[in-house]
Amino acid sequence: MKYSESVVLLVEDDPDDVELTLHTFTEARITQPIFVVRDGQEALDYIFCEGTHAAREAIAPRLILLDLKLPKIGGLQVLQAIKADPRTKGIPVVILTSSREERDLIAGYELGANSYIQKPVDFDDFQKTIRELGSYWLMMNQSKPATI
Amino acid sequence: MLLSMMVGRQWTAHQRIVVGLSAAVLGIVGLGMSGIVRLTGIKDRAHLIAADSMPGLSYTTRMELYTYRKSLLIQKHIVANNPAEKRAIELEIQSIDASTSSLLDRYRNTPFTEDIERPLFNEVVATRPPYLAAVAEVLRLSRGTTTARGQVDLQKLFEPYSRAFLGALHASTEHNLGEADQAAQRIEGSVGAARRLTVIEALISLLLALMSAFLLARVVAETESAARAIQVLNLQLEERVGELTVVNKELEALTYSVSHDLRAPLRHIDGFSKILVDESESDLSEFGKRAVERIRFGAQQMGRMIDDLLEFSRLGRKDVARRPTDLRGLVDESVEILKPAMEARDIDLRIGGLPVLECDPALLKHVMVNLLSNAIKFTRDSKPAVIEVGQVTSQETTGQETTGQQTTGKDATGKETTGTEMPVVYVRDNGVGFDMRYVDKLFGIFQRLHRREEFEGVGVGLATVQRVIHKHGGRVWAESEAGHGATFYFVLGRAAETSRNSGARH
Repeated sequence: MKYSESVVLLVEDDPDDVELTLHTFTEARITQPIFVVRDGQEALDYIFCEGTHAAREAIAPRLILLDLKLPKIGGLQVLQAIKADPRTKGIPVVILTSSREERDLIAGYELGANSYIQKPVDFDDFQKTIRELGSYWLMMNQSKPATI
Repeated sequence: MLLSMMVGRQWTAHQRIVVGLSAAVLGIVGLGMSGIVRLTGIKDRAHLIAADSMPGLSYTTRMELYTYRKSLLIQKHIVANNPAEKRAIELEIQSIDASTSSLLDRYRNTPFTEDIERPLFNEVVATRPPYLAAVAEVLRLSRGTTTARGQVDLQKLFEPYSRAFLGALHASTEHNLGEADQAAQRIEGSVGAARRLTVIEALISLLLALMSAFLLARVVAETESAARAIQVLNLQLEERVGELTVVNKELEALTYSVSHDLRAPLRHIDGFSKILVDESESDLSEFGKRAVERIRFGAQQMGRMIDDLLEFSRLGRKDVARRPTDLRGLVDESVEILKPAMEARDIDLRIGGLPVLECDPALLKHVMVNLLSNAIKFTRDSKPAVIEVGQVTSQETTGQETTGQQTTGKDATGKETTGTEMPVVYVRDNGVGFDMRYVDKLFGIFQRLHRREEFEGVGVGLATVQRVIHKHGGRVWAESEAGHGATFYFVLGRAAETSRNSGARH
């Protein structure tokens, strides 16, 4: 298992959010490589090594940070596809979204999300959240080994 | 009068049908009864009239009959040729005389209704003896007479007496027959009058029946038109429900969008501001640093407002699921939630006896958290802060409710549902309080009675409290004096009333 080489997949369409998240990862000294995809379709292509990512080495992402409101294919659909496939359903998926709607929360967990985090408006809180999230999922948590 | 009462607008359709039909039926039955009574009267009178006229009639008729038969027998006696035959006729005459005598006796004892009959009868009685004498003489003479000449002479001798007596008898009979005729005419007259009255009654009955039919038709028409109106209203209502569903969907989409899309730029403003300070702190002037700080405060404040507004909207859409809830438990949970805000504070929290309320515990917890959080916030400068939670005793309740109605003048909700038995709960503090002049703004959304730099908060808390209490069919009000603390009261409506208002189930 090539976990050391596997990436954190950030599924996020908003470039400002991408930049703030990456900045925070750097600040928090999380060394894991981060791969950013900008819509649901690209996320699925990357995860299942299809389309533009057909040629990549079949290593499952270590962690998927998933926004819900995405162009083309929505976050919940991406989540469903990941959790429906035995090859990928072991990958921890953390929903990281602006939405605090109860129905999103319920739908996320029903589809098998491993965690649901609402992005706080206060950037201090956001930084704290990302630090703790990285520390938990990338250092403390032992995920099920998976390859694609 | 009756008609105007029947068609009067103040009567319900049901009352009008009952009253109108009852009146018509009573009228028809009454008229029928009066007809029967009248006919019975006619029958009785006819009996009386017949009884009055018949005795005289029957006596005189029989008397006339006997006398005619007797004169016939006398004539037979006169023309009879042998003594044996004459003897037989004489016996027959004696038998008729006996019948006549007994008839006369009975006739004398019969009461007469009219005086005119008496002289007629007297005439009969008076003419009878000479007639009988003549008969006896004729019979005596005729015994020896066999010639035709003698027979004619005898008949001539007999005739005047016979005519006088028979004339008197005939007059009496005629009179009695006349009487009978008059009686018959009187009966006929009564029957005729009865017939006319009956025809009038039948016409009146017909009129009443027509009026009933008209009334029924009118009520049926009104009912039908009301049913049509209801149908139209139902269709309109369905349309409105459809529109509302669409609007509600749009509102939900908007809420979602607000929740998701409006928070993102705020996050960016706050995030990049923070990075600006972190990365270029040395390049920034004191004013620049302060400016960035204000930018971040503004963004965070707006984030809180959006969150609170969403929460407020979410509570508004939520159904009330009532179950018996120990308010004490809710207060304890709320205090636990508010622990961070109470840290490093000198707060004397006094929790008194609290009722078990039929309420939605999740919603009521919002109420308690908000009221307690306010009390904690506004006693910041009170040393020590005293916060009391309790239940108003029934004696106080009346007084407090009166005050409450004055203080929350516009708050009409729940006035009818506020039963004296429903417990009134209060949260009291010895904080800064507020000026009662602005009490009507207290429960408005984003309304604040203090300057923002004095006390934090966005002004949704009490609006949320009011919304939850209203959803329970209850009332919330407050009393205060600036600088002398504030007391918030609430009372819930009864469970059945609330479920009718909000469609909630238990």
